[in-house]
Order: sequence, then C-alpha cells, then structure tokens
Amino acid sequence: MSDVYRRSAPKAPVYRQGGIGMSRRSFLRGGVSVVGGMGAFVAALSPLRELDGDDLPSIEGFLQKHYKEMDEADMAAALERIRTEVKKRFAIDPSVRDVKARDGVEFVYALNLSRCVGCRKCVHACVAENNQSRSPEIQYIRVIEMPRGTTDIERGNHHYDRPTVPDEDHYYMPVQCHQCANPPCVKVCPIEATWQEPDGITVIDYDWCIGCRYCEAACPYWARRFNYSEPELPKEDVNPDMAYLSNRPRSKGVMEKCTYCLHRTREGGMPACLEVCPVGARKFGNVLDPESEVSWILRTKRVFVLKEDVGTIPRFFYYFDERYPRDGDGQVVGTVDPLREER
Amino acid sequence: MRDYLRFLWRCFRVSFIGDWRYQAWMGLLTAVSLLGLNAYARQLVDGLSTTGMTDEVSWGLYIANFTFLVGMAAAAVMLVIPVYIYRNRDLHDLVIFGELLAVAAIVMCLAFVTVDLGRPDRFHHLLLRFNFPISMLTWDVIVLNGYLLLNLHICGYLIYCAYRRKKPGKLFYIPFVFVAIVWAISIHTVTAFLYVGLGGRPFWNSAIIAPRFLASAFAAGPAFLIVSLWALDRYTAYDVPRAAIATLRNIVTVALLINMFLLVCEVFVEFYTDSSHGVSMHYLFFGLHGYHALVPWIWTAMLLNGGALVLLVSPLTRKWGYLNAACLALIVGVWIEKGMGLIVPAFIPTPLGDIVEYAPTLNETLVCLGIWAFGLLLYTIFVRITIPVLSGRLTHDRAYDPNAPIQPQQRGDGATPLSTSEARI
Amino acid sequence: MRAALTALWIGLALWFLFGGEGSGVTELSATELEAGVAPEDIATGPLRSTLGDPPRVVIGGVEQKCSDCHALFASLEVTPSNIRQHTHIELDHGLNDRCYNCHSQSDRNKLVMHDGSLVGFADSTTLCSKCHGTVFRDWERGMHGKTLGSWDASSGRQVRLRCVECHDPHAPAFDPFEALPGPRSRGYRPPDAHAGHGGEPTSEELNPLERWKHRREGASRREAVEGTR
Repeated sequence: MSDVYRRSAPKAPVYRQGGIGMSRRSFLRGGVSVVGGMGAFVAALSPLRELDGDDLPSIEGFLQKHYKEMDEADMAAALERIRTEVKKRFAIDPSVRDVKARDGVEFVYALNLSRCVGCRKCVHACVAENNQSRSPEIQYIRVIEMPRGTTDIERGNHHYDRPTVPDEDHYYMPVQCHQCANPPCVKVCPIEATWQEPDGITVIDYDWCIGCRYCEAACPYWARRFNYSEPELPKEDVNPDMAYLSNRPRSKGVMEKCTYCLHRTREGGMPACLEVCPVGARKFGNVLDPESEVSWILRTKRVFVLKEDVGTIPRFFYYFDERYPRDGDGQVVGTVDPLREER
Repeated sequence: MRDYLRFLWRCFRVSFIGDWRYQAWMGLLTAVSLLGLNAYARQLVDGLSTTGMTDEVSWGLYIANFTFLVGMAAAAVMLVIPVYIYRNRDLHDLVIFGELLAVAAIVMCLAFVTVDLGRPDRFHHLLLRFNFPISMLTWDVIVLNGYLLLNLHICGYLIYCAYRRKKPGKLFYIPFVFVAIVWAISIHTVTAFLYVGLGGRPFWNSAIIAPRFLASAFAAGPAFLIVSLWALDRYTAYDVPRAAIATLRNIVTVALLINMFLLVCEVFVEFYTDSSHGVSMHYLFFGLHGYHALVPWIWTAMLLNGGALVLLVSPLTRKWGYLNAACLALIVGVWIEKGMGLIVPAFIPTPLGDIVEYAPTLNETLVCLGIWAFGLLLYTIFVRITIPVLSGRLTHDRAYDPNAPIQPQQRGDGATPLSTSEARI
Repeated sequence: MRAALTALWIGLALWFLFGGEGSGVTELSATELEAGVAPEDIATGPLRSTLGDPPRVVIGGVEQKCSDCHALFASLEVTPSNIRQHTHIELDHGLNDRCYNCHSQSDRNKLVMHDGSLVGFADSTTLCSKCHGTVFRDWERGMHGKTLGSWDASSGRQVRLRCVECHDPHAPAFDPFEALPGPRSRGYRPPDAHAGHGGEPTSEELNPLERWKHRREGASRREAVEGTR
C-alpha cells in the first residue's frame, strides 16, 4: 500500500510567517477587509430598494389568520384590507365578500365533447371574470385539439391557430380544474393553504400560500397556476365583483386556480366559461339534486373522466351525445350516479 | 456559558486565519456567495420569473440542487456505519468530516428550498398550520431540520469536548450517532417520496427512485469527501490516513455500481414496455417531437458516470490524480442525473401533453452558485476549526498556536480523533 | 492578500450598486397579450335573436306581420322554384326542404305540427320536437342546449335558450367559428424546425394507422402545429 496515494511533491510548510495573524495588529488589519466584505454584503442586497409598499406584506396581512381560523370580525377586517389594497392598486371600488358553501350542494361540471368547437371563448371569458394576470399570461382553461381516433392527451395540440374551428379531423377537449373528490394538490400542501370545500370546490387562501408549487407538480390535470411575477392587470379590465376565495387580485408568488367561479355559483349563478360557450357544450349544476342538468347527464349519457387511473375522482365529466336508452314505459334505463358510487 | 461564548469567538477568529491560498479560496467563495445573494435580491423584487421556471416546468435548478444535496448530507452515514457498526479504524478519524459535510449540505438544502419559495415572507405559516402527516413536504421539513440538529449536536459536542480537553461522555453522543444513521437514510427516502407519491407524474411514480437516490448519494457524498480530503492533504498540514481513502474508494465504487444497475432497471422497464408512461424518459434520452434540450445533459451524465466507474474499478485510481478525476466526474454525473435528469423531465411533457422546455437563466444560476459557494464556505470554516481543536492546538486554556505540539484528545470510544502520527503540526 | 480582497469587495459593491443589468425579465405587454379579444368576442347570451310571436318585420316604415302580405296572396301547394320573395333565406335543413313542413299554409303567423295543429312561434321548440325527438328530450332535461342565469331551477333566474336562439331554423348547423388566440406561455417555443422531413406526402395519407406509429418522432408534432396555420 505504500505507493498508494503518494504525494507528488513534498509537503510545503504552511503558516510560515511566525505567529500568523493572531496578533492584535494584524487582526485589525484583517478587519479592514472584513468591513469591506460587510459593505459588499449590504450592496448585494441593494436591489431590495426596488421593493415598494405593495410588495411587502402589511402588518395586518402578516398577522392574518388562516381562512378556517378567522371569525367574522377577522374576516371583516381582512376584506376591508383587501378592499383598500384593490382601491389603491386599481383605483376602483370593488365588492369583496366571503361567500360560503351552501348546504346540500355539490357542484359538478359536464362537458359535451360532441359539441365543443374549440373556439377558446371559455378561456378568455374566464380570464375576464377572474382577474388573472394578463402578463405574464395566466389562463385556467386549456383547450386541446385532439386528432380523431385517440384519447392520448400527449397527441393533442394546445397551440392550434386555425382561421376557423372546428376542424373536421379533430375534436376539442377543454381542460380546467377538475375539483377532484380526492385531490392530490390538497394532499401535498404543507401548510393547508389549499383545501376542499363542502360543495366540492378546491380553493386556495392566497394570503396563506407560500408558493412552494408542490401542488402544481402534483396536479394530474395541470390545472394550477403560479404567479411568477407581480400580476399585471389593466385597471379598466378589473372585474369588481370579487370573493375572498376566488377572483380577488392575487399577489406575486402565490398559486391560483379555477374555483368554478364560486363568487357567482355559490350565489346561484353560472360559471363564466359556461355562459360564454356558443354551442352549449358546458353544463354545470348540483349533483345532489337528482333533477339537475348534470345529474341527468351523469345518469344517462356516455360519461367519462380524464385520467381515471390516477384515482382523483374528478367532479368534471366529459360526455358524448349518444341518446340514452329507455325501457318500454319510457323510463330511463340505468340510473347510476358514477360520482356517488366511486366513494 | 461564558466559556462557550469564548469558544465560539475563538472559532470565529480562527476561521479568518490561513495562508494566502486559504485567504484567496475564502475570498472567492465569499464573492460568489455575494453574487448569489445579489441575484436572490433581484429575484425577490421581480419574482420567480427571473428563473427559467414556468407553469409547465414548475421546478427547476433549485429543487434539483436540493435533491442532490439531501443526498450529500445523507452520505455521511457511509462513514458512520463502517466506524460505529463495523469498527473500521481507518475511517475513524474522518467521520467528523462526513458529519460536518452533512451540516453544510443541509444548510444548503434549506437555502435551496427557501429560494424556491414564492413567498418566503410567509415561512411562519409552516409553524401555524402544518399538514402533517399528510403532506410529504412536512415530513421533509421535519427530517431535514432534525438531521441538521443531530449532526450539529454530534459535531459540536465532540469539538467542544476536545476544546475543553475532556473525554466526551458516550451517553451524550453515541445514541445520537445511531439515531443519525437511521435518520440519514430517512432524509433521502422522504425526499424521494416527495416525488414518487405523485400519480400525475408517471416519470417519478416509480418505487425504484428512493433506492436510486440512496445509491447515487452514497456514491457522490464519499466522492466529494475524497476530493476535499485530497485538498486538505495537499494544502494543509493535515495528513489523511491512506487506508481510509482506499476504503472510501471502495464505498464509492460499490455505490456507483448499484446506482448504475438501478438506472438500467428503470431504463429497461420504460423502453421495453414502450407504453405512454415512458414518454418523459424518451424525452430525456432521445428527445420528443423535435424537442431535445435534455438529451446532451443526460448523455453527458451517462458518460461521466460510466467513465468514473471504469476508472474506479481499474487500478489507476490508486493514484490521487485519477481518483480525483473519477470522483469529480461522478459528482457532476450524479448531479446531472438527479437534477436535470430527474426533476426536469418529469414536467415534460406536461400532464396535458404540451411540451415546454426548461433552461435555467443567468440569475437563477447565480443564486445556485451563491448557495454552493456559501455551503463550501461553511464547510471550509468547519474544517478549519475542527483540525486545530481536535489536534489540541486550540483549547480552552490556550489560544490558537499553530506551532504548538499536538496533544490529541481521546474520543469517547477510545480512538484518537486525529492520531499523532497523522497530524503533524 | 488583504488588499486584494478589500479591492474585490469594493469592486463587487460598486457592481451591485451601479452595474446590475436587472434580472432580465422580459414580458409581453398587456396589449400584446390581449390582442384580438374584444368584449364582444366573449359576450354571453343567445347567439341569435328571433322576430317575436308572431314574427314582425318593418317594411316601408310600417311594422308588418307575415299574414299582412300572405293575406293578399294565395299559398301555392308547392313552393315555385322561381320564388322572388324571401331570397335571403338559405334553406339548408337536410331533408326538410319544404316551407310547409314547418310553416302553416293557412295561418302564416303560426307553425304547424304533423297532425295539422298549429303552434305559435314562441313555442317553436314544440315544432322542432316533431322531428328531433331525442334532442328535444335532452333539451327538456338541460342536457342539450344552453341554460343561463342559474344552475338552480328553483331560483327563478334560470333561462333556458330555445332551439332558434342558437340554431337558424332554415340552416341549423353552426357556421364555423373564429378561434380566439391560443396560449402564450412564457417558455413555449414551437418545435425544432430541423425535426422531421420536408414536404413530400406522408405515409399517414396512405394508411391511417401510421398516425399511431411513430408517435414520438419529431415530424408529427411539428406538422400538427404547422398544419393549423
């Protein structure tokens, strides 16, 4: 072993200068260098000068409790703070409120693939409704142009740019948050900044999120978006009808996602993407009401969910327009609610 | 207590003392750290759009480095196990360097996680609502910080005992050493579980990733130690026991072999099956639909790892030069394999089949370099303090004197921490 | 050494303070991003409006019902091919190519069912149901068509659009739509132009199964993207 790891040259004696720097004088001389280093440290932080008041959390914002821990007074204070901030940022007077889930309601979306023409109106109506950043662009809905004969989403095209749609060799599949009953995004969040509400909508407390983007990695539907920059939204485009858990303006560094327009839907309205759809491909409603449009669709149409194999149990269904079978008395055959049976 | 503060003060002063090479090295690391800090300040102002990350590829270089460094931290166990379980005398003196490396690596890990956060100002939310045990990230927070504390305690206790010239009480550190063995395995396993538990990312959704992580970590960590010990041996008065290097080389070789084997297993499954689950792997190795940004990376990694393996099993690496070359190749190879080769491809294509590629920006790269420099700075300081303390030249009753005779301290288990024959000055 | 270090710190500090180029974030301007999406592009509500029940049009400054003219002219059994009136109507309703299949021959302000009974224009859905039974059944349940206002039938705010509020009864198929702009993701780049091959006919045109093969090669994605231009 003697030849192993032999030193190539004899070892140079180290610390030759006797005493080496531990004398007080030389230590002080070293101090000049240390002070210089401190100066460089401070200078390195100098870009922070550009942080303005909007970027820094206010004291109230910093101390604000988690959504689920706020009582009425806390919420009122939080809403007031948001109102002031929006007023300052966009010079408008918004109506910000906290809309709670209704009892006996579980929202479900159904999308008719036989009808969708891929016009992307839903994408842009959603942006207008939900105050997403225009730059960098954030959109909750992605419309995928799929070649006929496959459901392999990897073969789809997100960037189609045709003069007119639909193209006869393709069908169109819009994807947005599926509001899963077993949501992987909620499971992975380390601080419970995102959770599932009683009516099935998965929401984010934008004031709680730390922006680790683990949920974005976990979502099999690519439904979550991150604010990589301070969201840019022209004043005249702000939708003043806002809710705490949905479309109030977000800040840099937090996640956001589709909430089925809960500020509209929890008050009985329809989501913006549905109302704009020119061909009526989008259906929305309460799955607990057996007479609702979506209940009928789930019972009678050829319904499927995207990526059923990942076990997310989505509340977003795709269907085709085949007519449902009836028995001799005109009664619908096969009244199975797929969502209920999954659980 | 006052004595402890004086100990810290003396350590602080010692860390500024060294020859011109030491000063230049420390100056360089400090300068790069500051560049990184400056880049991070810019990122705080402009947001994470200063990085190459997008909604499509939402984790990049930061998380890649994090993953690699968790491995470096865990690798300390590769020195602890031979010494404390198999009573390997050769490695005994070097255990402390492994543990110190673990401390520095964990600090870097925490830094990489912090720079990846969109809202670091809300860090305290972790204390207020902690989604334990559901979120694997909370497990990671616990095991990483726990591991940091364990190693800080073990190293700090041993060094302080040497400083006080007293024999370390076995009860105060041996149990912690054994806890740390299990804990080291757990940090890298939990980090692997972060990724493998996501059903929506088939590239990660593979049980072999945790063992792969451990194998690659147990190759890269000791390889880093070999290189740093070479530097110690070359540029300081400290003589590294040669038998220990040989043992480390064996550890690295076996770990790298296992790592390559596991990788081959994974590659076989994906390509032979040729199902749509293999699409990210296909992108990584051969490109996809005309996109192939990662192809040069992964083949570089394969080449480096393969080359390192050939060198390591050959007698050439009985020489420092070849051994260093093999170790450096391996470190870079594993870094690519676990970073650009494991984190990024899972995002390509997106779960909806879109392809957006990832390339780190300058600002992002500077932040990474800064954290690396800061970590190396810490490690250098730790080593700088440890050597004189353990060789008895810096003790409670005597300020640092590099020319003093060596008065080695007894470690609790009877072996000398730095045996007289080895540490000369 | 110390002097060199001190100089390094000062140099770094100066660079941090004055030399920084910024972080190099370039973004599309808001106008660039939203180009092409006007409020009317995302207007909600019915695609078409109807003329009322009975339909009324203004001719020569006077509001007129169908019967106002048709009272003067006897209706022929068969629509003559050289008809000069209603030329703006393009009848493209498949096999349903006779006016009286839907319009009442005797009362022009009404529509007619199979059994000869009359229905008003406001109730045109009933008329459609005489052929489109399955679609009508879906529509009744809200599975076809469009519901505005509310998902909650008990709210009283629910508005269900009728057939003719989306479909032109004379040419019920939708015209092609103009697609609104696609995503402009920050990191997206079109596929590498070097991938794949030139303009010769693809084997895909010869055998449809070819689409499923070669699913990961360069050409397919580029053609998919370029083919849409």
